[in-house]
Amino acid sequence: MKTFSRYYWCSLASAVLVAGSIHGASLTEGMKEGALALRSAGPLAFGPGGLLFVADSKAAALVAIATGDTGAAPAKKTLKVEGINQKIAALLGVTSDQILINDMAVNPVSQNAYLAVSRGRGTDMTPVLVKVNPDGRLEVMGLEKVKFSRAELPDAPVDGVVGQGNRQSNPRNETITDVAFLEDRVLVAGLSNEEFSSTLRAIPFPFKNVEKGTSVEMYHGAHGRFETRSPIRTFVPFKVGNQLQLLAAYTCTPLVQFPISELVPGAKIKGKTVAELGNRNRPLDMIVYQQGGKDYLLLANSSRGLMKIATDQIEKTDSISTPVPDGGKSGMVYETIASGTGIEQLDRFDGSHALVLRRTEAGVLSLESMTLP
Amino acid sequence: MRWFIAVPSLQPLRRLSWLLITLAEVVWCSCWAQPFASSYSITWNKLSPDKRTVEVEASGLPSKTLERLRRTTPSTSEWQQVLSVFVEHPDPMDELGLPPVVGTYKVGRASIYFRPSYPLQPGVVYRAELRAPGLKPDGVGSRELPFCSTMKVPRAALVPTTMVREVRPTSDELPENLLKFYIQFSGPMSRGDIYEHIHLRTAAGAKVEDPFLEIDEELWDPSESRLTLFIDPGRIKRGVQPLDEVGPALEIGKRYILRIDRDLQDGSGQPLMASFDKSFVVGPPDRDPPDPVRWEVRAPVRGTQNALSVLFFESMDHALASRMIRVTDESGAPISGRSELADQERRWHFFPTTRWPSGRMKIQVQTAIEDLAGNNIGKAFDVDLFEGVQKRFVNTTISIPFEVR
Repeated sequence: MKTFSRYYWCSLASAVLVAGSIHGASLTEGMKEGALALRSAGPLAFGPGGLLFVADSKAAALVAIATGDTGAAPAKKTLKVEGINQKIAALLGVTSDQILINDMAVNPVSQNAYLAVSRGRGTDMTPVLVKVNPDGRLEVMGLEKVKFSRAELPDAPVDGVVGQGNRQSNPRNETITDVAFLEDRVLVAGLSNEEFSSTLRAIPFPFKNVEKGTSVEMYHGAHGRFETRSPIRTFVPFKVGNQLQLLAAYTCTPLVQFPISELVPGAKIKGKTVAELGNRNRPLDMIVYQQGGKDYLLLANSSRGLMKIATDQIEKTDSISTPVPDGGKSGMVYETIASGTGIEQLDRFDGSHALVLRRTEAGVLSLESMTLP
Repeated sequence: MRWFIAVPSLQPLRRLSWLLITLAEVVWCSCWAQPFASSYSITWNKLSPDKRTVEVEASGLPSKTLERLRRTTPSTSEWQQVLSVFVEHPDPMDELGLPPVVGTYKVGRASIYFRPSYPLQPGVVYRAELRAPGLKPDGVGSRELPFCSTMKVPRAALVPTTMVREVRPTSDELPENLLKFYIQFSGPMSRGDIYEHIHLRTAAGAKVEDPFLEIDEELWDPSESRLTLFIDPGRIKRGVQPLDEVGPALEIGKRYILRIDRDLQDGSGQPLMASFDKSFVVGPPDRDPPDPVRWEVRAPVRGTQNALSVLFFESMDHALASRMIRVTDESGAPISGRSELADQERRWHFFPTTRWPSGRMKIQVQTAIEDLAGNNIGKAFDVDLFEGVQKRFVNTTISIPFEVR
C-alpha cells in the first residue's frame, strides 16, 4: 500500500548514508532465517532493498521480510490481471468467495506486486502473501525459509481484573490499518475494537523495541470539533519543502497533516486539517508521486473518483478551524479523477503509472496499472 | 485446459478399475473417460481424517518421463505440464485462464506425487490432469489428451450451532448519541461480510441507511466471537453537516431494531441458529462525561467474599468498564479477584479471590473508561471549540478510596 516515492528514497538514502543510521548491510540486522508463521496478513509496505513489512494484527506484530526480490524491473509499463480474486482463489484451491484481499504493495525495485490475502473466512482462515509478476503470473510467497524479524506491539492496557480470568482472554484487539516505512522506522496506525481511538506508532528499524503509540490530536473540520480519537484509515509520508510530513486520512474523512518530527513516543500532537472529503465517504488508500517537477498525492476513496492533490497546496492551506458548510467538503483545492472509481487499493507502479486494485460495477476485481493523472 | 469441452461428460467409464479411490467420491472425469492404452492412474491419497489434506498420486507414466523428472529439478511450471490440479467450475468457461492449485511435487519409484499447499475446501470439485508424451485415449485419433480424475470432499451437513448470545449495551433505552454495540456470539464467526448481514431498522421496518462506520478489517476480539460495531460518528454528532444532510442514525423517542441475520456465517461456514433482534428505544443524548464523584461505592464487610460494588447511575461501556477498573490496597498493590457488570451495565461488582481484610483500599479507574456515548472521565466525546470547551484529555487513572470494616 505504501511505497515512499523513489525520489524520496534517493534523497533519504543520501541523508541516511551521511547520518549512518541505516544502510544496505544493516537492513537485515537482527533477522533470522527460518519458517515464518503469520496469524494474519494485513497492511503491507515496502522499504528499500526488497524489504517487505507485513502487519499481522492477530498476532499484534509487525514483520519485516527480506524478500530477496531485488532484480531490476522489466521495461514493460503496463499490467492487467482481470479477475485477480478468482485467479488467487484457483491458485489457493478455493472458490473466490473464500478470498479476501487485504492489501497490495508494489516492490519499487522489481515492480512485483504483493497481495496480503486471507484464504478462508472462518476458523480455518490462512494468511497468504501472493506475488504478482509484471507479466501477470501469480505465485504464493513461500514462508518456510525466509529471513525475517518481528516487532511485537505493546500489550493492551491492564485489565481491571487482576491475577486471574479475563487476563488470559483479554477481548481487546488492535487492528493495524496502515503501515509505511520511513528512513529508519516503520509507522503503524492502529485501531482498537474497544476505544474509538487513534494510535500512531513509530517503530525503529531494524527492530529493537516498540515504543508507546503517539497519540494524535486533530481538529475535525466538518464536525466543528476537536476530535482526538477518530481512527486513522490510511496515511502517507511526503515532503513539504525540506520537512517530512505525514498526511493521514481519518475514517470520518478529514485529511490531516502532521510534521513527522513531532511523532515522538508518548507525545500528543495536533495536526493541521487540510481537507474534508465529505459525508458518506471513506478514504481507502494514498500514494505520493512526482510529475513535472511537482509532488502530488493521489487518494482513493469510496464515493468519488481518485483525488489528486498538489502537495504545495497542503503547505498553502490554512487549517480548517470552522465548521464546513455546503456538503461537508472544504480545505485545499484538489482535482477529482472521475475515471478512478472503484479503486480499493493503490500503489505506485513506476514513475508514470500507479497499480490499482479496482472493482467494476459487475463486481469483477482487477489488478491493473493506470497512467498517473 | 479446454480439452474436456469437446468431450461429452457422460462418456461411459469402461475401465474404472484403474481408478483407485481412497478418498471421498470420484465425481466424473472431465477430460477424457475412454480407456487409455497404458494403465495410467490417479489416486487421491487421504492424509488427514477430515479428508481435506490429500496427496495426488499419478502412476503409469513412461519410465523415460519418470527418469527425466528424477534427474532434473523441474520448475513448478514444468511439473504442472505433467500433473496439475484445478478447482473445477460448473461452467467450464469460468475456468479460462485460471491457474492450477499451488503445491509441492516429488517423484517416486513408479509414481509422481502432488501435495496441495492448503487443505481442500468441502463441496468443491477438484480435477487432476495428467499429461505425458503420447498419452491419448484408445482408438480416438492421435491427439494427446490429459488423463483426469476428479474428487470432492463432502460438505458437512447443515447443522447450525452458533447463536447471538447477547448484544451490549443490554439496556432497552439507549442515548441518541450511542457510540457502539458489542455483539457477543456463542462461538467464533467468519469474517468478510458483516455489514451485509447486520442492519438497523426502525420499528416500522424501514432500513436506516449506513448507520455504522464500515471498517473493512471488521473489529473482532481475538476469539472472533465478539464484534464491535461503531455507529458512524458523522451520524451521531450534533450540529454537524453530515447530520444536516442525512439525519442522525438514531432519533430520540423512536424505537429501532438491530438485526443480526441468520445468514451471517459462523467460523465453520454454518449460518446462525436464528436471527437475533435487539429492540431499543432512543432516549436523550448523553453529553456529560462520567463523574466518579457522583458514583456510589458500597464497601463489603471484612472476612467475607461479598462484592465490592460501584453504582454508576448510568450505563457504562461494558468492555471498558470490565477492563479499566481495578482494586488495590492502600499502597497500590493489586487485589486479586473477578469483576462483573450488572443492572444494564449500571453497576460494577468485584469479588475478591480471598476474604476481604479490613483496612483502607482503592478503586483505580482509568479515565479512558466510557459511557454509552463515548464520553470519558473529564472529557465529553464532542468537545466544541466554538463553545470554548477546550479541555485536554489526559489518559490517566483516578483513585476512589474505600474502607473495609
